[in-house]
Amino acid sequence: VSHPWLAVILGVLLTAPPTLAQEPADPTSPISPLAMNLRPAEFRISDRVILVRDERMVQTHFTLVVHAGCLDEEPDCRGVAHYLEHLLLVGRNPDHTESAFRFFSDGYANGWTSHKATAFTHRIAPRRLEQGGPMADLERLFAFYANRLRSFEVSAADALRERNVVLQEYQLRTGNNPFGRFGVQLEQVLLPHHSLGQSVIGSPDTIPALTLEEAQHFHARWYVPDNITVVVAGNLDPEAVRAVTARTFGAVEARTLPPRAGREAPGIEPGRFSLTVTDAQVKRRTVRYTKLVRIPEETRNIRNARLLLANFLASQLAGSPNDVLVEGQSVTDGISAGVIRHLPGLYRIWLSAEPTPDTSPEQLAEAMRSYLDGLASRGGFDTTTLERLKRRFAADVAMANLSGERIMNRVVDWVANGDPYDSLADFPLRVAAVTPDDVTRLLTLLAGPGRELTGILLPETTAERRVP
Amino acid sequence: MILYRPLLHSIVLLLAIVLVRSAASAQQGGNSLVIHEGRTPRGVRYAFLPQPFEDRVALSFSWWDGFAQARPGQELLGRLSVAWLQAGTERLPEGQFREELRDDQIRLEFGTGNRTTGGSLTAPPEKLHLAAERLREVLVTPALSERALARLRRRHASNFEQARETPGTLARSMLIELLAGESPFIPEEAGASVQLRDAERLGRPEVEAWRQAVLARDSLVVAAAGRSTEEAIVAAIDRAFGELPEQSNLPLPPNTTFRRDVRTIVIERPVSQTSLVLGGGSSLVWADERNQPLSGIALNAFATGPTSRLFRAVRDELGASYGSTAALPMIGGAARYLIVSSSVDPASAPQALAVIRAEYDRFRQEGLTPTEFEAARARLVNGLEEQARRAGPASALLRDLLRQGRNAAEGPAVLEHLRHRLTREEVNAHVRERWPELPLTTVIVAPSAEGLAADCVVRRHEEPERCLVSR
Repeated sequence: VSHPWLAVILGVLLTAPPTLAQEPADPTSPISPLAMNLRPAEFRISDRVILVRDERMVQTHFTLVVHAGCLDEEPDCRGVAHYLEHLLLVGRNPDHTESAFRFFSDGYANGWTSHKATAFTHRIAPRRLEQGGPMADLERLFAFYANRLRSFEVSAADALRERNVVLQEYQLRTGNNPFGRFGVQLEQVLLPHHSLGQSVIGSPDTIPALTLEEAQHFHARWYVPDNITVVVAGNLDPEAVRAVTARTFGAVEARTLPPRAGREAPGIEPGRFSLTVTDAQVKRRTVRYTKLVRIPEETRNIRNARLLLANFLASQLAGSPNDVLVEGQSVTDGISAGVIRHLPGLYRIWLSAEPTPDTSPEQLAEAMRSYLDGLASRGGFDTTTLERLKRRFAADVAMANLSGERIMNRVVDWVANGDPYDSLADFPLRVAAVTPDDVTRLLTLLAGPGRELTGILLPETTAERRVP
Repeated sequence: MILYRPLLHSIVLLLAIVLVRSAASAQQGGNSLVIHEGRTPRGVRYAFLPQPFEDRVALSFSWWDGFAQARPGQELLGRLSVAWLQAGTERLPEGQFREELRDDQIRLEFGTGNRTTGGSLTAPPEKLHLAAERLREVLVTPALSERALARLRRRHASNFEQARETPGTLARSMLIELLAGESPFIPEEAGASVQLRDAERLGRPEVEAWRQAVLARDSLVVAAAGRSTEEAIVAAIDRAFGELPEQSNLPLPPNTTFRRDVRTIVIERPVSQTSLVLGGGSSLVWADERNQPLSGIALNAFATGPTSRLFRAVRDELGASYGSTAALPMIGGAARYLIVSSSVDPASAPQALAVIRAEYDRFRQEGLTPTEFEAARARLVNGLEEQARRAGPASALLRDLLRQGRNAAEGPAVLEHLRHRLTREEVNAHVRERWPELPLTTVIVAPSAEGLAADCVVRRHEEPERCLVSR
């Protein structure tokens, strides 16, 4: 870092609670910084409940994150966690005989499942004080999910019908989408023996075999008070939320969590693989280059360097994939790229693009590989670019700190990825401290031994393809 | 998600009302907040909603268009022009220009559709002037490089070709062609049936002609919202748009009339899920936009979310679909058509189709129940209120209001009506009288036509156009 003190000051500013992130303002001026009393603030209500208070929010937002997803299925990922998400929303409790989808007829409800977590989200419409205000609705919702942690009931007929809904969801997103199908095939080659290589939702083979008993078993193992985080956001009084938490989730009996065998990063068998698929539903050629690498995280800045590298790969900055492969070599008209940390010690770097008419898929794939090798051999990007990326990140964080919804989403994303809430506070500080050496080290490791896969998706009749 | 956009876009009046209310509730110290309206020194019509509680400032702008649609064979000119305009400026190539915007947290987007071209500009309040300068660059000194044009042509061609293979998009495109096949806006709306060769002929002369005709000050409206002052907004508007020609040169708006085609068309394709798309032309035209909140409430009750009729009937009871949607999109900025879509289990497709038709018939005949009406009204108003307190969406809503030539001052009375005096009977009468009658035109993409009572079948290796004309 050219100015280490700057990074430290920046980090301190960014890691302060959002309410302290900017200078005090004159609230009467329409263009002065946002008035202090209007800035959102985070409150840790309990070990498992976080409140983002924003007096400007009209609706109340609720997300319950269960820290269990497809990676926690046994023996491997077949879609049980996702099926349970559906069942929990459509199932009934003795105290609530309607689907949770319709918990508030004038609100919004949904759920989602990932490899690491399952989440249930609700948006509650504003309620006048004579109707009990927002806390009355929130208490109903807290009580509902506290009961769902204890048990849930769903009829066999409902469970069977919902299983077909899940299958239709799969068909909508993946089965009927050639690019989705291609992605599934690539993952199975890349990670053939690990749940990370399986689709969270399952497959046409596994979904029809899902049973209510499997879902109930998963529920009994993972839907326990110590394995959830609730994030609420709105114009709410922290003390009132604390009291409601104690009355609802606080009354649920604790249970012991089983060991998380599925969270161990798999061993990677290094090698270079390729998969070419033709599909009648495809009219454009696609090349996806992916590489999985085991990376020891001896320092945390390897992990934080990943964020800046990902931002660089997605940019159009000098030396980015767009700059080199689109503008420089003209092997594609547009490219997407990124680097992901799947699990501690397991990273993936990838590029995806359509070749230009004069470029073969194989040429594009080779250009992608060469680009990444070149990036690593050059040591990444220069100090100026690194500082530019850090300034952008800092500005984004500062802007997000002014919005209750964005803070809430940041917290949900963080905890759903399996990271402790408390480690979020100094994340910007850690990013601000990333050095060019950290980026170089990460790139060197990414260029090392790993499992490389070049996937090519082609129209069934390439020769007949019309290109103007 | 795509189908929500026309719905939200359409309920401009309600939103404008909500804007007034939202702004009032958020003000500091009880000062009355107003939407400032007027013309800038350079003659641009504008409106501005001050939002001292917001962290950004946003400008949304719109020109009348329809230039390309008046030129047979050039229907895609507007789309191509808007994309080309954003591909860098004389000062900086595309990539560097975009990265510079990113450094300054400025977001700049353009779009075209429904006989308008427009966009939005969002920036931190202290960078409003800089953002306006960047927008000026795009409008006045775009790079317009031949390389970028070639790239855009290829991207468009690739997207259109792929869209034709996407079952839901193909079915929707066919439906639009069946309903409004005479409209010059068909290529813009029905993405899967575009004549690619026409786009190949478009180049610099056509794009320059489009710029001269469309991007002028007289047909431009700009709405702003966020943390700023009227003075700063007016200065920014004239900075960005002040150098454009004063006079536009637009064709008369074309008429859009819907055909009534009650056939069921099945396109056989090797798909794992059957796409059902049903629709019909409504009697709702541009002049009816003030009544669009009534359709918004009805669409909400019929097909939006888990409390809706279609969710309960097709997903909850049949288990045949992950979800269904309904919308009343506008074509050519002139008239609205109904479109109901559901992707269903092929084994349940005949049953799902019958259920959707029966539910639509019942909904149109009987209308919303009191419970449905209250919930849908609250959902719509609350959701819009949430959007309206953010600078970006608020400015877009105000812009659409200006585009309609409306006055925001009428808002409070209408809001009062919608919140407290609008009756279920009014909404039900609107649905009964203005939404299309049964039978609806039906287009299905399925692995087999068997059991679907098709009037025309497109076999696997046939082109869908064979069923466009009634036989």
